[in-house]
Amino acid sequence: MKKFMLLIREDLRLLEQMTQEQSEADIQKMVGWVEEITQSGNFVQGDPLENGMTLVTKDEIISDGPFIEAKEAISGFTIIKAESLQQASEIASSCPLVHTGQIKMEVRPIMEF
Amino acid sequence: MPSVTSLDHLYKNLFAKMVGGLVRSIGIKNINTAEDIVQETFLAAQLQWTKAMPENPKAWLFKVCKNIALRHFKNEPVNSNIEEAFYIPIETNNTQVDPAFEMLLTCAHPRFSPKQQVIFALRYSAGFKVDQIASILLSKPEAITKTLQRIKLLIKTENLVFSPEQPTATSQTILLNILYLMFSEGYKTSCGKSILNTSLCEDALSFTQVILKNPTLSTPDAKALYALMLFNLSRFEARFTKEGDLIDLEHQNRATWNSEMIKVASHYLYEAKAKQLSKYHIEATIAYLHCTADSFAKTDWGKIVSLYQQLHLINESPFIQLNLAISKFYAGHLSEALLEMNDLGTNTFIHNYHIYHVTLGKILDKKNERPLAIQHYQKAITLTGHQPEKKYIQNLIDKASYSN
Repeated sequence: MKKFMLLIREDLRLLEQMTQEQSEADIQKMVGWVEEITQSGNFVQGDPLENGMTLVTKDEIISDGPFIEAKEAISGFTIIKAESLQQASEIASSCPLVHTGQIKMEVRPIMEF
Repeated sequence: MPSVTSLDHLYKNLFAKMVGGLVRSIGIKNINTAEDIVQETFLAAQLQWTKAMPENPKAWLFKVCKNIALRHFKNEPVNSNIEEAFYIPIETNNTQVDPAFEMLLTCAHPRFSPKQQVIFALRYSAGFKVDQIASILLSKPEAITKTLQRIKLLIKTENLVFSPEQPTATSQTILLNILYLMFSEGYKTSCGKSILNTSLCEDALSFTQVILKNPTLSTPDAKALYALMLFNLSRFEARFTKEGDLIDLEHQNRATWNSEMIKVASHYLYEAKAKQLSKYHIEATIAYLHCTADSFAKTDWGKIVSLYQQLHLINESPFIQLNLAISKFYAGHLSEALLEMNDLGTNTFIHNYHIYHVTLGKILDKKNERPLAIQHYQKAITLTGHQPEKKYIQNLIDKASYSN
């Protein structure tokens, strides 16, 4: 099996407005999903990210992100094992927060030599 | 007059065989049509059996199903295959492959996710209805229907090549994983000891038996998986009180464990010997150590620690690391267990996992740090939505408070 990185994207402004109960409920859903993909032998690792960020370029360090025009940014990552990009995508689509439309996942194969 | 239960029973036993039989003749791409024909058959049974119950209900169903199929494909070339396909499931001919098992091989394709495979297998190999699958997987019927539609769409549009006759090494691995996951879903305590759960475990077990009878498929891994299932089944009932409350391993009445089943399981584990050990070997060996120990205290926890270490190497995950910590705790390495737990606690997922807090509570309880232990138990209660688990943890709180 190959490794894939699932980059989790979501609306950071919505994320900031969330109450503690809401964000705990979301984490609960993620825990259930991670438990499920662990049992099926697909989970490798993963963590949510905190909101603070900087952008480091050749000339400067910008500290007031998010830096892209879109309001979505990366809010977490998961590394999984899967047979193919297609299977990895099907696994990503089984995440309950993807179902509700709250997050999107970008699925990228990790390069191997 | 047909009782609802008898028709439900026939549906559960025959739905997958009938759909599988049809698929064999009209092709997997026509699975929706196959399913419609079988549904129509059962609808006809429901209507007509109230007037007159047939002498042989099973034969009646196959005959009506065949006729509907023949009518549906009247002028098409597949028509001639239908007669042939329907000859097989009725006859109890052991040399023939069960069409329900063929459906299982069909979904053992690397294109699908394990979850999709399990849902497909529950529907088209085990014959559970959509709402039953939803209740087994603690999901909603709409979500199950959506997943089934997605799989069927992939089958149709991507022209996936299925050859149930010649399973590859990958599909064999996937096949065992599907059965492992099916069994685990049935065995989960969070849903209690419902009839659905028992039936699911039995289905997974009997498909594994089919694998063991097949010379190509009967690998050491398959035998180890079979042993694992039997070890677990031997104490299926012992995990609950009459009222349906949970009893943990420590407090189960070992005399009620099925000793015959444990013997058979031990035999298969011995037969499963291999140079390369799978996760099934390791999990089955852990189960063996539990099942053959005279008591919880006399369990060979040291060995179990090293087995979890091996398992962690094969399938590195915080959940297995948690089991490792638990086994260290029971092996008497209290401080080592705590170190492991502290390390795990920094993981967001584990920090929000109720079993992590139950375990931490138990360790602190043992160290006589009861107020702190109770805090973790209380956190655990908020993290699980399952009533029997909540009740079990509340019980731990009550005990800890009482000993204060």
